[in-house]
Amino acid sequence: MLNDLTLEMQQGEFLTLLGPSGCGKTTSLNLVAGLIKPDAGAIFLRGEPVDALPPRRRGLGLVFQSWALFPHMNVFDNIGFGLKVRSAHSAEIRKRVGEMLDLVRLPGVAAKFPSQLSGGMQQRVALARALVTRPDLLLLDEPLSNLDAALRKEMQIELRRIHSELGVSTLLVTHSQEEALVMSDRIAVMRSGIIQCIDTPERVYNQPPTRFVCTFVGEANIFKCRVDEVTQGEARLSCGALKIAVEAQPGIAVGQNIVAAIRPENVILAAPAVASGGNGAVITDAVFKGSNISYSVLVEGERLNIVTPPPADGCAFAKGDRVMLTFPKSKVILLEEEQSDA
Amino acid sequence: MPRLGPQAISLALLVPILLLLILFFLFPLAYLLHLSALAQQPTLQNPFPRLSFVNYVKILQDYFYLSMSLNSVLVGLSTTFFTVAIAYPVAFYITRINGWERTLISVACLLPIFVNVIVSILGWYILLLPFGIIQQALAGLGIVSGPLQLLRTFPALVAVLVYEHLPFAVLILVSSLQAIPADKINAARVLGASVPRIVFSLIIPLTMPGLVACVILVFSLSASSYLAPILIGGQRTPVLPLAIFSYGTELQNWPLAAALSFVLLVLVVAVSFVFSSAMNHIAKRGQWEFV
Repeated sequence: MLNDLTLEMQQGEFLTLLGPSGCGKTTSLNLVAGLIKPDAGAIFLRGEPVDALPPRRRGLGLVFQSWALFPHMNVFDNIGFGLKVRSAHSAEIRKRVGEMLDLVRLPGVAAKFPSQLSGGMQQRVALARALVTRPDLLLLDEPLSNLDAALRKEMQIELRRIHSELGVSTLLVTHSQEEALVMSDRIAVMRSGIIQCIDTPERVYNQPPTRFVCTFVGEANIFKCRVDEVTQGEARLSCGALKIAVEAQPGIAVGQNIVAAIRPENVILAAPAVASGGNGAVITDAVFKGSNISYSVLVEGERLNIVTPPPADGCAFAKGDRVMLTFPKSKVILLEEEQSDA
Repeated sequence: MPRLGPQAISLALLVPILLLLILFFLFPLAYLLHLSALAQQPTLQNPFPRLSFVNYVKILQDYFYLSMSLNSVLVGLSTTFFTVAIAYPVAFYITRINGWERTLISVACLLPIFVNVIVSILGWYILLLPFGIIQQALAGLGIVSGPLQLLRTFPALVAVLVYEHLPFAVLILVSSLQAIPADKINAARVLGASVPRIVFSLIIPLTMPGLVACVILVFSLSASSYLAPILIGGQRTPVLPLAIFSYGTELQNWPLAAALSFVLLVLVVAVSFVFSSAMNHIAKRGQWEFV
């Protein structure tokens, strides 16, 4: 499943493994936790090799997608379990469980059983249980995917807060680009057992190296282009009849085939009357979504998605309107040409 | 046709089983209770003898019946203990393996169900006979010499009953063990729990419903078993079913047989109830659902 995977984490870092299902991200997490054994390769924690250590000796915290709470124990016993197996004093257990319940903002549920709690509360209990032993590394396996959308947003912020409060290194596995972008210090985008790119959320979003990364972390309009002309600081591409200019990058030569992408929110739309230059286009569909308007436009035979904030004067474009499009040079992403499976 | 509400429909679905239970269980039970309270066997001359507790008094005053009752409970408890002690690890192992090994062990566990009980008990009979296979084997190894009393002993009876009920216990426990999500076990492993800790604080409480079902089934079947006691235990290990049979058929004293049946029934129900409520208390059942 995994293929030549190398991943290094800094202390206190929030790293996310992002990828579609079946890309090997949960496998990676289970390898770190020691729940499965690698066929080859080594895992180091705190600079020490841990391949010979069983999961219980690795000193980790793990939150499962299902949360895996113990149904026959109340919240207090669930959270205290990790301390109890370490033969901690009952006064110590009481104190630390209390601290954890405060940390995850769940006061007064200690005597309840998991089945009496809502999904969000169970999630918090699972988090508290994983953190009570003060692990050096917290592993989160799609912890939010069983929650509804509103709760998920709330828990993203909560997880960030808890991470910054405790400063615990955190490895999150998720298939949701939103979760990855919101919470991480760095994101590793995985596909088919390979890490395609590892960088900060901003750079992964704004400068993805491959077409897969570009479309997985967000929406994008993709063009297959030919390089027409390279001058200082600028390269001119033609994508069919559509001409766009990009910032020159090393390794671009005239006549080369290249893939260019631009995110829907980066295309500038203007009425023909006020626009100075750009590509003429026709709006084929306009969808009002409250905080933004999503347009479908046809420009020189290419179909594009564009997202703009609603204009202040309230005069949005309508279906059939003629508009001018501009592609800001710095916002056009150049991608590596990927083989067949792109 | 008027539309039926969901309650009416579920009631209608219950009718066949209710009828069956009333006709073939409740009614005979009530008849048996009535029979046990008759002063003597009804005859053509005296079809309606007077009602009295004379049979129960007779049972409770007689050391023979009391020791027989105790014997029945002991046979049931020992059989249950050894059955669960053997079945639980086997069931645990079955849930941890796959492929041909799993098929092999499952088939080996289930095959005895397909063999007629009398045939399998007679098989044991041949094994346990004085100068039978077990003794010959032990003598051949030089462990024993001279005749060995295996048949007609309490341990032999328990061994045969364990053998008879093991498949059911394994079946129940496997399905119960399989219902535990692997995540919960893994969560405990990552939290630092050792294997014994996982077994005692996680697996056993989570399989408690299956364990209780298994204990009740094995206890009630073995305490009321007739074939193994008559063929293996004989009169040296007197248990209630033997007496019930002999009063019911040989001695033609149906009221006393019925009273003995009721004593057995009460014992089985009482032990099952005490056990299940004690276990549910320990595992805090009733306070949690499986999440």
